[in-house]
Amino acid sequence: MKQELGRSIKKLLLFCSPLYTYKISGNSMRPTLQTGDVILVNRLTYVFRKPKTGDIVALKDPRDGKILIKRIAKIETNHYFVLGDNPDYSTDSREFGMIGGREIIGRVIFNSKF
Amino acid sequence: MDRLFSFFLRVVPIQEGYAHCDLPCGVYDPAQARIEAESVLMIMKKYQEMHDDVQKTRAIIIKEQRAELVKHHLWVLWTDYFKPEHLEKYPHLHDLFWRATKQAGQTKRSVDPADGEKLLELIAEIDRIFKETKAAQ
Repeated sequence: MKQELGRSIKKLLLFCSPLYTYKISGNSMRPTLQTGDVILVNRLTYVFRKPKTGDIVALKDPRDGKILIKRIAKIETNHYFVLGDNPDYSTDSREFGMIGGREIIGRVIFNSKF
Repeated sequence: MDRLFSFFLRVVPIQEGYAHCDLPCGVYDPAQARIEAESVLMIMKKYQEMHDDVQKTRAIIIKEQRAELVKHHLWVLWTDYFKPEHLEKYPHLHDLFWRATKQAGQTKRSVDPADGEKLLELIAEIDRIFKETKAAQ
């Protein structure tokens, strides 16, 4: 019962929060972001403006819904080509194609190590 | 900003964000499926002239294995190489792969070379689209 309540509160907090926190796992964004870094993602940034080339964003992997952190490299009519900063070790739009705006969760605005 | 960050760390649950690599080799070519399908067809043709039961059994086993490899190579192309933007340009792509993998299954059940030839035709159509997408890159 307590566990269920905890899960519900967690879901509610995530639903309501304009900011998300993510702990980085993987090396595809090195040297900008590294495994263990904790980042802050603003979900409202793109309510007020469109994503720009160079923005680091949290997005849903179009293949399985996992949360990925990548940089927008190219924009074509509301479709975004995202790349890792460490392209030799990154699974990104070269693999899963361009993503739609709906896949973008928000913009990375702060890293604990920035 | 640090204070805001610390506040959110306490209030909002931290999720996992993946900055990862699937280690894709990035090498794709329908030739892999075609070569296996050519083996399937050749076995079907040779089977028609075989009289020895042991040889016929071997032919069936090898045909089964090669047809399974055709399916595997088609699935790799379908799921790993082709992307949503390809589907926009070639809306029949899913149907084409579905028919090709079904046909690979049909060549397991059959020893009729016509089934093998049909499989090769479908792979040739996939190859044509593949080459067009490569040329556009």
